[in-house]
Amino acid sequence: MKKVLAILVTAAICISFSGCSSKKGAESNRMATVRVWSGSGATKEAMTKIIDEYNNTQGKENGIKIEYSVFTSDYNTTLDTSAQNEQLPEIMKVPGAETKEKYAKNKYVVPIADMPGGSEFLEKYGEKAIEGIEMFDGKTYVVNTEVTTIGLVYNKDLFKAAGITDENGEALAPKTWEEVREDAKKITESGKSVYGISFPMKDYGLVAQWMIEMPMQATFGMDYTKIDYNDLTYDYSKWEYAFDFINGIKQDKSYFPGAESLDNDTSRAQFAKGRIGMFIGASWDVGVLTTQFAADCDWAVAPVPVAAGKERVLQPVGLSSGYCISNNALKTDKEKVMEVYKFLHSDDLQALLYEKQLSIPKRVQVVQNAKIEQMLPQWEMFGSFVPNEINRRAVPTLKLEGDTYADVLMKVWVGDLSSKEAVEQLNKTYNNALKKGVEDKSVDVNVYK
Amino acid sequence: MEKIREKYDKHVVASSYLVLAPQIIGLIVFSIYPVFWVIRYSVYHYDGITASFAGLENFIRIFTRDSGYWMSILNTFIIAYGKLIIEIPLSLMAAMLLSKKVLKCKKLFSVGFYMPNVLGIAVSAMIFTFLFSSFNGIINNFLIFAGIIKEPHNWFSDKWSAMTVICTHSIWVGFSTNMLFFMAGFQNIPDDLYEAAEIDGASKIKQFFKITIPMIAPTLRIILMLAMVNGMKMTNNVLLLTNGGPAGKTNVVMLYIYKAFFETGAKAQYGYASAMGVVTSVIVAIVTLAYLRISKKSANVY
Amino acid sequence: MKQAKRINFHDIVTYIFLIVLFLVVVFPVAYAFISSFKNTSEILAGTNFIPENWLWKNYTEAWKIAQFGIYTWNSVYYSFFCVLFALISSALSGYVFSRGKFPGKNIVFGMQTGMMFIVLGTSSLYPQLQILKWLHLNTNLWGIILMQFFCGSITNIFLVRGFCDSLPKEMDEAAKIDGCSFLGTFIKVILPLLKPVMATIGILSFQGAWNDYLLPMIVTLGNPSQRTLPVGLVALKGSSDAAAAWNLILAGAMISAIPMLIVYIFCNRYFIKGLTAGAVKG
Repeated sequence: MKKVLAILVTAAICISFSGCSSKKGAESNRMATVRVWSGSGATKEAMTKIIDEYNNTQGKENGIKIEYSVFTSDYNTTLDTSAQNEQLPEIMKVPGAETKEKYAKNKYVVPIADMPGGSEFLEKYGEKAIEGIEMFDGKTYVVNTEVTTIGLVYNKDLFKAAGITDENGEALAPKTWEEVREDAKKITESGKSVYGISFPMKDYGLVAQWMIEMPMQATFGMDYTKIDYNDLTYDYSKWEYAFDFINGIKQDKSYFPGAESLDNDTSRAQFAKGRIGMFIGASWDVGVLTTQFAADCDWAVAPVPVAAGKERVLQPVGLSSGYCISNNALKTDKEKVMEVYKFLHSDDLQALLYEKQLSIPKRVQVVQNAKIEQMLPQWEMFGSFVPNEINRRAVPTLKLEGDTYADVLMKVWVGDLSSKEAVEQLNKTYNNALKKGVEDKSVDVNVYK
Repeated sequence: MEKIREKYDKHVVASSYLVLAPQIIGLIVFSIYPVFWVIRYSVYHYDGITASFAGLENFIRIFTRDSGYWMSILNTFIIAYGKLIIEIPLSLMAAMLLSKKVLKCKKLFSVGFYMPNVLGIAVSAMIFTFLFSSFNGIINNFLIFAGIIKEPHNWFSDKWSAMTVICTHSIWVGFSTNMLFFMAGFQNIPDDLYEAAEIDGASKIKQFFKITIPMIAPTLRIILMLAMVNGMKMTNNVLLLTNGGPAGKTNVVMLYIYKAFFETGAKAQYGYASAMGVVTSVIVAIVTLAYLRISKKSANVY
Repeated sequence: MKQAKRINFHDIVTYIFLIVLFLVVVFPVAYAFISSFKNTSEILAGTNFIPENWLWKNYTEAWKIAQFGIYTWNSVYYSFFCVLFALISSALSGYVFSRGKFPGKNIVFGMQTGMMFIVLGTSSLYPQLQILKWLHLNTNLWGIILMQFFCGSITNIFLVRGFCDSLPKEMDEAAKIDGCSFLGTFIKVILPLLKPVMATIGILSFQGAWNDYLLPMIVTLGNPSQRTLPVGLVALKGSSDAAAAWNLILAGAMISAIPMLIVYIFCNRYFIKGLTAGAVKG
């Protein structure tokens, strides 16, 4: 028995050691391996195919092999620890302006211009880079190619059943937030186990940003959260409107129950089963509602509502995380890394992903030139929301002592804060943080003015 | 002094240190060094980019301006200690019953009681959110069926319901682990004590209190201590069950610190999170040492 | 006659208690098991307990997509060595702390215990990684396996020490008289008696190693082929733009549960009293 055990242990050690040596084989021949990391689960399958094709055609010719990895969960932690470990891949998607800033200042990523062919690349794609979003200290580190648009996703069947239709008997989507509240109430009352609207408050960060802040910008403009860099004050007063709206929904009880423990996945799954009238969705929901949770109901997309009596001012758009080049790329074949970088940003690739209904390109021309034969109407709708000019502004990331606006939204939902109190608290917290940030020089207001 | 030194057998000392050497090295390198690292960061403001010396500012902030932190400490104590009231007696009972010779289907019960450990915290927490869901959740359906409530109860909308869910999940997992500890502890109690008591006519209950409890006292003391300390370290289960509860009301300490570490939408505050870690460790140490001191009396019985 | 009646009632109560407890404890796991055959939509929003279609393909898909074959093997040898080291180090250390007399014993033990109170959580991750990097151990599983050798869990040491404390010292004396050294006593006398504690530690450390997520994830970032099962499982969770594949996650969790059950059933016989009765008599 002991002998058998000893043999097994030795065998185990030998086999497992064999897994250790697979590291640097690739670089010995003239094939350069370029590693690309992404956190996007939706495009994983399609991108893997595209990358495989590249590897077998252009890649082979030019001596490049792309290793594409997707980390769908804890991507931020993965990046952070890799950065600390100096194990960043050559190219990776970096989410969030604050993360990019951190990496840029710590020199984990390199400015694009420092790479061979970087300046030419920037001429084509890097127009209108903004300091604080793509540029840091005057150098451009990332170029965004994909955007996510938002819209009102609604269940046509439920609308018809509740009698909310236009002259032709087609479901009539609400155009103002007041109509949203009314319609939600009607739908909830129209049947058992159906609810007008859904807010997945377990993911309250997502709700605060994608379902409240961005849609409200359509009515109030990018200055929805007004920041005055001379007085160093934040003005959240326009949020009172949104908080009142939320309170209205709560009062009517027209939201899907258990919102506090409802995460976005479950919310969309419930919508797919036809129990929810509408929700503020984004272009990524198309994939979720068609392939992952095949919707039982007839659903459509409408532009996000505006406040009653006001005009639509802009189309809010979320910028997807863009690719950055890490400092590890400097240690390998820089030209080949740049080749891959250009490939990832090429119009062809973006068009392909758009046609597969997986991601929306930033450049409107690509959207308009795409082949629209088999496109889902919902996807087309989301695509149509891409504006000619992307509106965006850089905001400072602050060291907050207290609740973020997402936390406050949650407190309003639960009823701990009234709308007015919430606005007051937000102003106070953010003002303090901004002032402190300027004092200890972690925030440079000149960047944002 | 010389007399005391004579007591040490050189051979014993040598073997002991030989055995303990890797442990001690590991302790210094992997435990004590991180402690110093964290203490060092606790006196700085560090956001991942720039570090500036802060002195005691972080600590002052904890003690004067951060009510969320102290709320999370309170929650942690309530959950970690409160659940023991149910968890320990339950696992003790189960372990005792399974240790009796004449019980049938022991293996089946034993494997069944091990089940909570098999799923892992993440998956089991998600299962519990399904079970306690407001819309068509099994628990709600059962309670309505039994006539205890009329409408589905929203378990996650107020603090105490959410705490109940967390405690239930925690007890469910902890029961399993503690039962194992107790069963191991029971192995030690010689059967002849029970036989003698039986012959003397002692009832089962009397046997329990006069034999089982005293014999298991040292093990019980350790198990309680481990349960308390581990209870204070809860993070993932609360994160997945309530994400800190309705608006942060069920935040527990480690989750609160984790959020300060990995906050999105605002700058990460590693220095502050480290300072919170230091304060928390001191609190846990004080409480546990107090417990050990108080329970020392029950330790040496046999 | 009276005696027999009393025992019967007692037994009935016992069985009822155990059965109810059993059902309550097992139910969530059964729920997970049944749900692992549903598709994600049904899991999250379905109204029926029994799946409409029994999707066995969840299991085959999970196995394929997550390359579970490789990950499972990695988990197996990772856990095996972690358990081995845990058993060796905790048994020896527990014994030494219980029976050994050496200067500084209380200091060392105190420090170990003290470390347990230090709740640093994720804060301690970065410094530990720093050290691993410095030692060049941060790129594959062997680094953290080695770390396990040096960092015995204080819980295990406590258990062994407590157990040893309750073993009568006369046995030690007898062995000494027979000419056994300090460590010899351990191997010949104490170790055989430690079986129940070893079984407990075996189960718990296997469980811990098998489910260990954070360190294996970080250490295998650059080396996907070295990933362990939990790392592979978590990767199935959704990103912001795609929903989590709960059907695969649950199927994967069930697959992952099997080895733990096997280890448990194997170690179980050291628990059930009646088989080791008489081990510690006199």
